[in-house]
Amino acid sequence: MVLVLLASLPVAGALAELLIAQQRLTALADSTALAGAQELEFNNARSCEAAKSFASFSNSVEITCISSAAEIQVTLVSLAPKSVFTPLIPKLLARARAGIADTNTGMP
Amino acid sequence: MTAKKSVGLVASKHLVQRSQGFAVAEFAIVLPVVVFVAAMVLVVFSIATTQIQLESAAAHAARIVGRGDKLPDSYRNALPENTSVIVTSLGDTIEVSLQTDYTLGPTWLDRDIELRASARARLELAIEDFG
Repeated sequence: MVLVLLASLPVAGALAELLIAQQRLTALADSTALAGAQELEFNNARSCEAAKSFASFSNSVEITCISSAAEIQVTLVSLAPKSVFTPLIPKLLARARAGIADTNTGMP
Repeated sequence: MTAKKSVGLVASKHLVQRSQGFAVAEFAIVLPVVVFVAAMVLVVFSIATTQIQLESAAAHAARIVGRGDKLPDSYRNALPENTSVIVTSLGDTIEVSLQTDYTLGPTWLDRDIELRASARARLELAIEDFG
Protein backbone atom coordinates (compact mmCIF):
# COMPACT_ATOMS: atom_id res chain seq x y z
CA MET A 1 0.00 0.00 0.00
CA VAL A 2 2.86 2.32 0.90
CA LEU A 3 4.55 1.55 -2.42
CA VAL A 4 1.34 2.32 -4.32
CA LEU A 5 1.06 5.62 -2.47
CA LEU A 6 4.65 6.54 -3.22
CA ALA A 7 4.17 5.57 -6.88
CA SER A 8 1.28 8.02 -7.08
CA LEU A 9 3.69 10.95 -6.71
CA PRO A 10 5.40 10.64 -10.10
CA VAL A 11 2.01 9.90 -11.67
CA ALA A 12 0.66 13.16 -10.21
CA GLY A 13 3.73 14.98 -11.48
CA ALA A 14 3.35 13.51 -14.96
CA LEU A 15 -0.33 14.42 -15.06
CA ALA A 16 0.47 17.98 -14.01
CA GLU A 17 3.14 18.22 -16.71
CA LEU A 18 0.66 16.96 -19.30
CA LEU A 19 -1.94 19.54 -18.28
CA ILE A 20 0.60 22.36 -18.47
CA ALA A 21 1.79 21.22 -21.92
CA GLN A 22 -1.81 21.11 -23.16
CA GLN A 23 -2.44 24.62 -21.81
CA ARG A 24 0.68 25.91 -23.59
CA LEU A 25 -0.36 24.31 -26.89
CA THR A 26 -3.90 25.70 -26.61
CA ALA A 27 -2.55 29.21 -25.99
CA LEU A 28 -0.19 28.83 -28.97
CA ALA A 29 -3.06 27.65 -31.17
CA ASP A 30 -5.13 30.68 -30.18
CA SER A 31 -2.36 33.16 -30.95
CA THR A 32 -1.48 31.34 -34.21
CA ALA A 33 -5.08 31.57 -35.40
CA LEU A 34 -5.18 35.26 -34.49
CA ALA A 35 -1.88 35.88 -36.29
CA GLY A 36 -3.26 34.26 -39.43
CA ALA A 37 -6.60 36.05 -39.14
CA GLN A 38 -4.89 39.42 -39.46
CA GLU A 39 -4.25 38.66 -43.12
CA LEU A 40 -7.79 37.49 -43.89
CA GLU A 41 -9.27 40.81 -44.87
CA PHE A 42 -6.62 42.27 -47.18
CA ASN A 43 -4.31 39.38 -48.03
CA ASN A 44 -6.44 36.29 -47.74
CA ALA A 45 -4.13 33.95 -49.62
CA ARG A 46 -1.32 34.63 -47.16
CA SER A 47 -3.25 33.92 -43.98
CA CYS A 48 -2.08 30.33 -43.56
CA GLU A 49 1.47 31.29 -44.43
CA ALA A 50 1.36 34.03 -41.79
CA ALA A 51 0.01 31.61 -39.20
CA LYS A 52 2.73 29.05 -39.95
CA SER A 53 5.40 31.71 -39.93
CA PHE A 54 4.18 32.95 -36.54
CA ALA A 55 4.25 29.49 -34.95
CA SER A 56 7.61 28.57 -36.50
CA PHE A 57 9.49 29.63 -33.35
CA SER A 58 8.14 26.48 -31.73
CA ASN A 59 10.00 23.73 -33.59
CA SER A 60 8.22 20.80 -32.00
CA VAL A 61 4.78 21.69 -33.33
CA GLU A 62 3.12 20.48 -36.53
CA ILE A 63 0.64 22.95 -37.97
CA THR A 64 -2.33 22.27 -40.20
CA CYS A 65 -4.16 25.29 -41.48
CA ILE A 66 -7.41 25.79 -43.37
CA SER A 67 -8.56 29.24 -44.36
CA SER A 68 -11.68 30.54 -46.06
CA ALA A 69 -12.80 34.02 -46.99
CA ALA A 70 -13.65 35.04 -43.45
CA GLU A 71 -12.17 32.41 -41.20
CA ILE A 72 -8.97 30.54 -40.45
CA GLN A 73 -8.72 27.30 -38.54
CA VAL A 74 -5.43 25.93 -37.23
CA THR A 75 -4.66 22.56 -35.71
CA LEU A 76 -1.48 22.16 -33.71
CA VAL A 77 -0.04 18.77 -32.84
CA SER A 78 2.97 18.21 -30.64
CA LEU A 79 4.54 15.28 -28.86
CA ALA A 80 3.37 14.87 -25.29
CA PRO A 81 6.02 15.15 -22.59
CA LYS A 82 7.61 11.77 -21.92
CA SER A 83 5.99 10.21 -18.89
CA VAL A 84 3.99 7.20 -17.77
CA PHE A 85 1.11 8.55 -19.86
CA THR A 86 3.07 8.51 -23.13
CA PRO A 87 1.69 5.11 -24.29
CA LEU A 88 -1.85 6.38 -23.63
CA ILE A 89 -1.41 9.98 -24.82
CA PRO A 90 1.52 10.14 -27.27
CA LYS A 91 0.48 13.44 -28.84
CA LEU A 92 -1.28 16.60 -27.78
CA LEU A 93 -3.67 18.41 -30.06
CA ALA A 94 -5.12 21.91 -29.97
CA ARG A 95 -7.50 23.59 -32.40
CA ALA A 96 -8.37 27.24 -32.73
CA ARG A 97 -10.20 29.37 -35.22
CA ALA A 98 -10.39 33.06 -35.76
CA GLY A 99 -12.08 35.27 -38.27
CA ILE A 100 -13.27 38.68 -39.25
CA ALA A 101 -15.77 40.01 -36.77
CA ASP A 102 -19.06 41.16 -38.19
CA THR A 103 -19.47 44.57 -36.63
CA ASN A 104 -23.05 44.91 -37.88
CA THR A 105 -24.45 42.11 -35.78
CA GLY A 106 -24.78 41.80 -32.07
CA MET A 107 -23.90 45.41 -31.38
CA PRO A 108 -26.48 47.92 -30.18
CA MET B 1 -14.78 -30.58 28.71
CA THR B 2 -15.56 -27.24 30.25
CA ALA B 3 -11.88 -26.74 31.09
CA LYS B 4 -10.92 -27.33 27.43
CA LYS B 5 -13.52 -24.80 26.28
CA SER B 6 -12.23 -22.13 28.64
CA VAL B 7 -8.62 -22.64 27.45
CA GLY B 8 -9.76 -22.20 23.85
CA LEU B 9 -11.55 -18.93 24.65
CA VAL B 10 -8.55 -17.48 26.43
CA ALA B 11 -6.25 -18.40 23.53
CA SER B 12 -8.55 -16.79 20.97
CA LYS B 13 -8.77 -13.65 23.12
CA HIS B 14 -4.99 -13.37 22.98
CA LEU B 15 -5.09 -13.82 19.22
CA VAL B 16 -7.60 -11.00 18.83
CA GLN B 17 -5.56 -8.71 21.07
CA ARG B 18 -2.37 -9.56 19.13
CA SER B 19 -3.94 -8.85 15.72
CA GLN B 20 -5.32 -5.56 17.06
CA GLY B 21 -1.82 -4.66 18.17
CA PHE B 22 -0.42 -5.39 14.72
CA ALA B 23 -3.11 -3.27 13.10
CA VAL B 24 -2.34 -0.31 15.38
CA ALA B 25 1.39 -0.63 14.72
CA GLU B 26 0.86 -0.85 10.94
CA PHE B 27 -1.47 2.14 11.05
CA ALA B 28 1.11 4.13 13.05
CA ILE B 29 3.72 3.42 10.36
CA VAL B 30 1.49 3.96 7.36
CA LEU B 31 -0.35 7.09 8.54
CA PRO B 32 2.62 9.49 8.31
CA VAL B 33 3.43 8.13 4.85
CA VAL B 34 -0.18 8.61 3.75
CA VAL B 35 -0.22 12.17 5.09
CA PHE B 36 3.16 12.94 3.48
CA VAL B 37 2.14 11.56 0.08
CA ALA B 38 -1.23 13.34 0.18
CA ALA B 39 0.53 16.60 1.04
CA MET B 40 3.04 16.14 -1.77
CA VAL B 41 0.30 15.39 -4.31
CA LEU B 42 -1.53 18.55 -3.18
CA VAL B 43 1.66 20.59 -3.56
CA VAL B 44 2.29 19.18 -7.05
CA PHE B 45 -1.23 20.07 -8.20
CA SER B 46 -1.02 23.48 -6.53
CA ILE B 47 2.20 24.26 -8.42
CA ALA B 48 0.65 22.97 -11.64
CA THR B 49 -2.42 25.16 -11.11
CA THR B 50 -0.25 28.24 -10.57
CA GLN B 51 1.81 27.38 -13.67
CA ILE B 52 -1.35 26.98 -15.78
CA GLN B 53 -2.64 30.32 -14.47
CA LEU B 54 0.67 31.91 -15.45
CA GLU B 55 0.57 30.38 -18.94
CA SER B 56 -2.97 31.62 -19.43
CA ALA B 57 -2.14 35.08 -18.06
CA ALA B 58 0.92 35.34 -20.33
CA ALA B 59 -1.17 34.49 -23.40
CA HIS B 60 -3.81 37.02 -22.33
CA ALA B 61 -1.18 39.72 -21.78
CA ALA B 62 0.45 39.00 -25.14
CA ARG B 63 -2.90 39.47 -26.84
CA ILE B 64 -3.56 42.77 -25.03
CA VAL B 65 -0.10 44.16 -25.86
CA GLY B 66 -0.33 42.78 -29.43
CA ARG B 67 -3.46 44.87 -29.95
CA GLY B 68 -1.45 47.93 -28.97
CA ASP B 69 -3.06 48.43 -25.56
CA LYS B 70 -1.36 48.81 -22.21
CA LEU B 71 -1.78 46.15 -19.54
CA PRO B 72 -4.51 47.42 -17.22
CA ASP B 73 -4.03 47.58 -13.45
CA SER B 74 -6.78 45.00 -13.02
CA TYR B 75 -4.64 42.54 -14.96
CA ARG B 76 -1.58 43.14 -12.80
CA ASN B 77 -3.65 42.92 -9.63
CA ALA B 78 -5.00 39.51 -10.67
CA LEU B 79 -1.52 38.03 -10.96
CA PRO B 80 0.05 36.16 -8.03
CA GLU B 81 2.04 38.38 -5.67
CA ASN B 82 5.56 39.40 -6.73
CA THR B 83 4.99 38.45 -10.35
CA SER B 84 7.20 40.31 -12.79
CA VAL B 85 5.98 41.06 -16.30
CA ILE B 86 8.52 41.49 -19.09
CA VAL B 87 7.40 42.57 -22.55
CA THR B 88 9.88 42.07 -25.39
CA SER B 89 9.43 43.22 -28.95
CA LEU B 90 10.60 40.79 -31.65
CA GLY B 91 9.88 42.66 -34.87
CA ASP B 92 6.25 42.05 -35.77
CA THR B 93 5.81 39.80 -32.74
CA ILE B 94 5.82 40.56 -29.04
CA GLU B 95 6.67 38.21 -26.24
CA VAL B 96 5.34 38.50 -22.71
CA SER B 97 7.18 36.65 -19.95
CA LEU B 98 5.83 36.23 -16.46
CA GLN B 99 7.93 35.13 -13.54
CA THR B 100 6.84 34.45 -10.00
CA ASP B 101 8.05 32.65 -6.89
CA TYR B 102 5.91 29.85 -5.53
CA THR B 103 6.43 29.45 -1.80
CA LEU B 104 6.63 25.84 -0.68
CA GLY B 105 5.12 25.17 2.72
CA PRO B 106 5.18 27.76 5.49
CA THR B 107 6.85 31.10 4.79
CA TRP B 108 9.45 30.61 7.54
CA LEU B 109 10.76 27.58 5.67
CA ASP B 110 11.82 30.01 2.93
CA ARG B 111 11.66 27.48 0.10
CA ASP B 112 10.69 29.08 -3.20
CA ILE B 113 10.24 27.62 -6.65
CA GLU B 114 10.60 29.95 -9.59
CA LEU B 115 7.77 29.59 -12.09
CA ARG B 116 7.99 31.12 -15.55
CA ALA B 117 5.63 31.37 -18.48
CA SER B 118 5.89 33.16 -21.77
CA ALA B 119 3.61 33.71 -24.73
CA ARG B 120 3.84 35.45 -28.05
CA ALA B 121 1.39 37.38 -30.17
CA ARG B 122 1.61 39.04 -33.54
CA LEU B 123 1.36 42.81 -33.44
CA GLU B 124 -1.91 44.01 -34.92
CA LEU B 125 -1.70 46.93 -37.26
CA ALA B 126 -3.73 49.92 -36.23
CA ILE B 127 -5.92 51.72 -38.79
CA GLU B 128 -3.33 54.54 -39.03
CA ASP B 129 -0.65 52.03 -40.03
CA PHE B 130 -2.44 51.33 -43.29
CA GLY B 131 -1.89 54.97 -44.29
